[in-house]
Amino acid sequence: MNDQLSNKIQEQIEVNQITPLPRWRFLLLRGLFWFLAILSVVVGAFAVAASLFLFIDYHRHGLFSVPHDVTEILLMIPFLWIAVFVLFIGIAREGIKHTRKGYQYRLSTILSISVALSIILGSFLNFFGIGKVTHEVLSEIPLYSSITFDSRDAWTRPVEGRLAGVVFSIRDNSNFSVVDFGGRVWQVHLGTSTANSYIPEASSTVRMAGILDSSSSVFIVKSIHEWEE
Amino acid sequence: MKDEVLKTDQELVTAALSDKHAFSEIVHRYEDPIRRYARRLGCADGDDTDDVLQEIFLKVYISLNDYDADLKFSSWLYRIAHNEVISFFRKKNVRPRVLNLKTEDVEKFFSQIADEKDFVELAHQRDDTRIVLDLLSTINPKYKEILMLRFLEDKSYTEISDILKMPEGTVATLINRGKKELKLALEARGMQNI
Repeated sequence: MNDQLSNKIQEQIEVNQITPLPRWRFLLLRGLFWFLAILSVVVGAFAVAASLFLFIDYHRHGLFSVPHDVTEILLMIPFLWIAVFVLFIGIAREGIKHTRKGYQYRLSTILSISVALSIILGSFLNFFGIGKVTHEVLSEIPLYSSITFDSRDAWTRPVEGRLAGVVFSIRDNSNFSVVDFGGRVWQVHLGTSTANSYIPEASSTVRMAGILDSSSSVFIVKSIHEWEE
Repeated sequence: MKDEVLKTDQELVTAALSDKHAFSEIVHRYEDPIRRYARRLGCADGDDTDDVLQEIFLKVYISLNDYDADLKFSSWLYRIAHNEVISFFRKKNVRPRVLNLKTEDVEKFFSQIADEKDFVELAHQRDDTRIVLDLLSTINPKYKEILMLRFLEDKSYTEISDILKMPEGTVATLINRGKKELKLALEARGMQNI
């Protein structure tokens, strides 16, 4: 038996005082990969929750039944949350791949499970209002609010025919004033062709589709609904 | 030494963790197969292979506490060997020599693969080592590596999965693709199957 190699290795071990790394180092590293994978699924779930909140919010406030220009349509797609979701599912996949047995599973299996877990958890989070909280907290950040489009933004566009706000001064059944979500006051007239017979009360919040009369700056309403919180 | 020979890999690992001299038996047991494997991956005979082998076994020693008994020790060691050879080439900033195979490697490769029905013709050509090496050299490196593990190192699909850290399904797919490429290379040389 040729001892040359084993002698060289023993010499290296002695001279450089090499010892096996302690087991806790490897367990810690494995734990970190699992933590990364789980954290990524959770972040993905928050992305799902926020996206669901926005989608339901648009639907609840009738945004899918009014016309939008291309910019608005693009803003309504939660690109940021989709990007976050895709990024973190990718990170989850890398984390799982580096666990002890994770490499045994096909990419499609890991991705499917990660996506499914994020969607299930995200739906659960949204049910308990976490989607809304996530969106509202992040809306304080100018960059985030500039690239997302919530229903309050969408309904504060009288020039595009959409106005919402709090009713504060009712002159008669057809004329009242509204302060919009940006704090600006508008005169509103319920036209004879108003589609529904909803009569707003003082201090109620309403959303209205219609036309802004550019000469009188009066918003002429075609349809009016209560604003659902 | 006779007692050491009878010990299982797991027992040797346990012994080496408490007595560094016991690690020599692991080196003795695996030096020859790992040297052959490193050479087949492209290390030149001589100093390069000796250097790589030292790196491999030192890495094995340092990582002994990372070994879990639910994995075959040889698969774990081959995994380290594979990664260290790749690192070695990266550090030296050279590409691995394409297939440092000896004649007996070629013989063995084709006696194994000739059991597959599509490669009977190839088996008949194996006397011309140069042609055969040329054929092997034309295929994608990732297929070459996996075909070597299967047909030269006699590794099972599970072992290859553990060594290269990929799903068994992927191993099977890559082996099939590698064989298809070999077959195409055969046909391109005008060699038809019998």
